[in-house]
Amino acid sequence: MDALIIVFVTGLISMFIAMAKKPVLVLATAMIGLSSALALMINQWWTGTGFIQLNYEGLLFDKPSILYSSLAISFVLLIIAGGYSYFKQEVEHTGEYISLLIFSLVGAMCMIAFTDLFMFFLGLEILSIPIYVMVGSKKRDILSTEASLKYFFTGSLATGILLFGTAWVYGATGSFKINEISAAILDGSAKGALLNVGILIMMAAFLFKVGAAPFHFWSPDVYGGAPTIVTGFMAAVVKLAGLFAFLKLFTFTFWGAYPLWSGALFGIIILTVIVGNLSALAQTRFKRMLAFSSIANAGYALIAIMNQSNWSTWNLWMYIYGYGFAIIALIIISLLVNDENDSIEGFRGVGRKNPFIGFVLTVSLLSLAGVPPLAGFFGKYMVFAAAFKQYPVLVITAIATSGIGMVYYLRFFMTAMAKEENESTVEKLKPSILQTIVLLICAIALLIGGYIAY
Amino acid sequence: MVLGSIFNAGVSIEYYIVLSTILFVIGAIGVMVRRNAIILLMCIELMLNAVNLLMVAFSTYFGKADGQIFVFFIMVVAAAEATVGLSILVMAYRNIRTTDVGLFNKLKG
Amino acid sequence: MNSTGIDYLPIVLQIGVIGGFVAFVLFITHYLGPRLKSKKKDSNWECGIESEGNARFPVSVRYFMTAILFVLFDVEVIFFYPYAVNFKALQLEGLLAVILFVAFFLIGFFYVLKKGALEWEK
Repeated sequence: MDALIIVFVTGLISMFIAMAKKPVLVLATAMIGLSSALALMINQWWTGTGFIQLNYEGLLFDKPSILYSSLAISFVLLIIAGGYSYFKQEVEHTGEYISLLIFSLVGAMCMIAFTDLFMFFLGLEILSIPIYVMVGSKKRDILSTEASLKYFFTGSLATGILLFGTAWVYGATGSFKINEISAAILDGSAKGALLNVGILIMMAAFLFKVGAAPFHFWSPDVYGGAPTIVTGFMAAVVKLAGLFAFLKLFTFTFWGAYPLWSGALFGIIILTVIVGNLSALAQTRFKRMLAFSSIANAGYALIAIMNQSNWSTWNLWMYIYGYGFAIIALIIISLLVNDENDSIEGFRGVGRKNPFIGFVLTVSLLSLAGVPPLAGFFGKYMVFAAAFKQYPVLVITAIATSGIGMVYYLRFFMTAMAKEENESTVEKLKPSILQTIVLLICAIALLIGGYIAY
Repeated sequence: MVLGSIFNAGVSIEYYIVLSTILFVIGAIGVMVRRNAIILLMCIELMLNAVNLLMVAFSTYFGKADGQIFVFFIMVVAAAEATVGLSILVMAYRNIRTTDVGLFNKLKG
Repeated sequence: MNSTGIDYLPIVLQIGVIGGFVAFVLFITHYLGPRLKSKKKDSNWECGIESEGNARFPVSVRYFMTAILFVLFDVEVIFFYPYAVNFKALQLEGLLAVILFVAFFLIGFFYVLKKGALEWEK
């Protein structure tokens, strides 16, 4: 709870400190604030209590919430540090960019730690609304505007659907608190038809938000049109919050209705991994490829939610850990390459020109593809191994499609490591000190992933 | 008396559910078929208001206030969302000179 | 709530009267009013200066800013309703909560002022 307050106050301060027109100050505020929030989270993990005892029944930072919140805070720290070179281009708006991302993090933390649907809904909106703005933050760019408009309409449609589902669930169980809802479903006092409709509607809205297959059509456009660093934020932080809330709400709260939603989710996962991976094969633009790859990855992560294991929280965390750091590293490299058409060809020769970037690129791509010693492999392995007994068909499909996934990751890798160079983009390849540090942290996080997993 | 039997039926919860579902579906269909961005915004507001109606109806049905509090939150968040949406729309209009969402098609393949 | 059907009779009557009045007025104006038709009469502007340009000229974005900010700050007032109703029961804790809420509000307002969103002439 204290970490949440610190993050919020950091957002406020960095918003006002930007009036001084010194971007460095904003960056320093954000870094200090987020680091201290991270430290508070770690402290709470070891001691079990926060520094300030604030009792609010809507939010509870228990151990899983602390794990996920710390991961979210780290992602935002890395994204702000790595994207600073982009944020400071417009001095007028630096403070707004950074504080909007921090406010969005506040929403993500509410969405992670919620114990009733009030806080869940507020968290979802606090997470989404700043991102609608950030997607359109290139005000003169037609593509960014279009992406923002599309994200806004699909996002608020999903919000409406989610609320409708919430209303039905409320009608069935008579409560917004997740313990009471879960108890009412388990002891059978919930009204069947109302509950079933509500759960399915809520699931549709969730799949919309995390971008699973029949509801994924917005995500390539939005990821492609958004400023690169915001794409990274959406792929890492928004997915993290969405997937964990999905887990908390479905695996724990709607546990009693498992037979109802697991069947629907089964089909959706199979569709998602196939559509995501096959469409990613055909892409020639980097961010669109990333979008389809993130659809496929959402499909794999949903397997952790399907699975009735006590470890699914931890498995999902490990999966998102591997995925998030790899995506952030790729996004920052793409920010450095800064190809105008955002094409994969723009990366040609990047790895040879700058061996350090080549190394980070290799590590993150191999991690995404799921090659053994890296974090991505352990995430996939844990999720698949836990689900294999119950759903062999699902896991076999997932493994087969991640084979397809390997094709486009490795193709991208070959392009980046090719001998001939794309002069126009490779010339500009000069990471700042901050970006070097961020890339290094990502690479280390991916390399030691296996150690964390055990 | 026929008139009396119609009016005496009372408004049970089912009618609220049906009414709000109808409103919600009108809104959702509107979002999908209309092309003017401002009408899309209005349709989304209609969907949210259908939810509000349902929440208030359930809240009265259970005799609890929490549903009505939720409605307050929905209203405020809807206003915030509409504000952001309208601002994005103005930005889009300045760049592309239209509010027809069918013409926002630059992001393809 | 023991209302019988007969209690609703005034409402039914009133609906009937409203419908009847509307139909009556529409009917009677149609027949009583004189009919004049000419080219000038049927044009968009029958008198005054000649129409010129497009009616949909761009309005200054300042109006829009003010309107948007009004929507944003206006709706927040609904949170005072629950407080006003439970004013006595909530005691000091409620007052502190509302003061905190208003403080956040004012921070937002202060930001708007600082950014110059409400300055008319820039």
